[in-house]
Amino acid sequence: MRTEAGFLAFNALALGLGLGLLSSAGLVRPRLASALPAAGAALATGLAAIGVVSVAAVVAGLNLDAAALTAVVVVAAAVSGAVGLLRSRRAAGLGPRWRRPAPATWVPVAVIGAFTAAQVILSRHVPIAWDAAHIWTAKAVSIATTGGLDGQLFSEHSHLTTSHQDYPLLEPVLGALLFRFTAVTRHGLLIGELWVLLGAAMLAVPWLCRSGDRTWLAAAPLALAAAAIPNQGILRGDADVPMACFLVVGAVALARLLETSERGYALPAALCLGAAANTKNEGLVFALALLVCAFGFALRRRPVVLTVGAVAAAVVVVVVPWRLWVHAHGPFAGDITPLSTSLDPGFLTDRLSQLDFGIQQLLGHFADPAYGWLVPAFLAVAVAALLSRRASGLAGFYLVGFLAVVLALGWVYWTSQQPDIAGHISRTALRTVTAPLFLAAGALAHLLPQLVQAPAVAGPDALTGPPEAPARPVERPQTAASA
Amino acid sequence: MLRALLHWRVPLRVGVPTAAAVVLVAFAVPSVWGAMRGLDGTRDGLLLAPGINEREKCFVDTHQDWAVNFTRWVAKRIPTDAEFDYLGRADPVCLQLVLFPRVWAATGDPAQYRIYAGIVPEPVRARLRAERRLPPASRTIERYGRDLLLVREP
Repeated sequence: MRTEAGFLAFNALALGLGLGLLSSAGLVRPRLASALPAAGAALATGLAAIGVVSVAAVVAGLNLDAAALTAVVVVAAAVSGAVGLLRSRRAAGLGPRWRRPAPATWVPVAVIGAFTAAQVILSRHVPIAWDAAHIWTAKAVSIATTGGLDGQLFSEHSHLTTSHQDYPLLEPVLGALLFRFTAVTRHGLLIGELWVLLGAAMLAVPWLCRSGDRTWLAAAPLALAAAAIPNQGILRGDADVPMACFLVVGAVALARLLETSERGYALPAALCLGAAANTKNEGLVFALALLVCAFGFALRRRPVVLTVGAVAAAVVVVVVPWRLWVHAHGPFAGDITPLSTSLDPGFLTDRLSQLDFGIQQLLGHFADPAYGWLVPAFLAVAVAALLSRRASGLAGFYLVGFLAVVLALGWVYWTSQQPDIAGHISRTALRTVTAPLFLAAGALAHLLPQLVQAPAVAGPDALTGPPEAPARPVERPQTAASA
Repeated sequence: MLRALLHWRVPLRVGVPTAAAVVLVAFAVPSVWGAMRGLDGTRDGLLLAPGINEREKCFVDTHQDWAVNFTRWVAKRIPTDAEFDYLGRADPVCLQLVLFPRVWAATGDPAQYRIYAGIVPEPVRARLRAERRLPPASRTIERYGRDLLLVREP
């Protein structure tokens, strides 16, 4: 009973913190009709916030403690909630009115919720697979045991090189906190939390996009992404799916910032992209790639450029602590070749076959039905949007962001110095496609409800709108289940 | 296709998103159902061998089943709040995972216990030989099997 209560309490804390933060950003109003649909985004944002702050805390030498975390989170949620309340009072009368959600809205939400709950329950006793035993869960148990980065796992000149000391720490830290809350160091709890995060991300995207009555349409590509073959990585305790979850929520929030110019979206964008960068090394590259694309699309609108700059600065701030730790305790044998080596033309020419094989593997997975055909569907929809000039700016941002993420993966494979490069690419491409796959699903969830609906209802395309008159957001009324 | 078959004039901006939406929605439910079954299969594939706990599976996965009983023997002899050092052929991460909450001391830090599994330095062998003459209660080295030792540091 203590285990279940601890699991629920930890997630309730994350949910409360997320709601407070989204409320302070002006995205949620302090009433049930507004807060309930935002539950997925709030949970993802809350977990991201707890994760990035806890990583910084353990790097600073602080002890991870359930009671201390509870106190800090409750205070932070209360303060941010109070800020949200003040904002809400100033904008009194402009809030959404409650209306009964249509089945097209709540049925997909219920399906995602049921799928997530079933997976959490079914996975509570799942044994530890190799990667989790050597990297993610091993570090989580170590941090839960010692409260910090102590012992051989985090030692300089460690004998445990298969644990990859340089890998980012967000998943182990969340796992360690969960173990502290439940007083049990059981791998299945961490797996359950990964399912919760996946469910939260699936619910967050339609809510961020204000899909409303078209939530069913937004949920379809997300359901396909959740059902695609990379979800088996969750059972193995891999960090690819959690990184992709944070990345897609951050990317969609960033797209909404570009689309509506509402600064409130900067908060979930910064926290979730920062969390993605703190979950896997490629998450950092993907987050930076998306931020650079966002800069490009915001250039003509000064206030939005400044907000995107603030998001980028916040991502850098939350990434720096772990990078400093790695710098201070390294060098570690990493998977990524430093730019000082990889930018040599001779080095690149010698490895052209690696690039060819890597891209072939990625494209092969994108075209594989086991990956839901999300990428071909996304490419077709994005190109159609660009040609028809409907939501073309949004489609352009997602298309360029997707290509940047795939090219970043291609670069890593091109410059890899792994001894068995073919085996390495074949093994890892199964997992590394997760982030672009989820990005494609998030883009489809954002684009399809806009493109399939009648043109008169669709909002103006802010990304391609005139710089002197940025388009105002066109929001449909929120319903309780439009998450 | 609609244009060719039924002479419907569907503009690109409507046709492509609508076709994508129809395909994705049609695939979504069977995909989720199929995923549930696939995940059940993956869970079954990760099932533990009888008598092996979830952490000891690490040794089984690395084909070092012999280390399971040795680490159980070691775990009974090292207090849960003690730190240890290790040298040997058993997968070191699996050994640490199984022995938690006993922590493998950071490199250079003192450890109260040293575990040897398959690799035993000559000074430790000499100490083991010397201790044979002592009564069991006075010995600092315990032996589980050939080259499988636990040394208690003074």
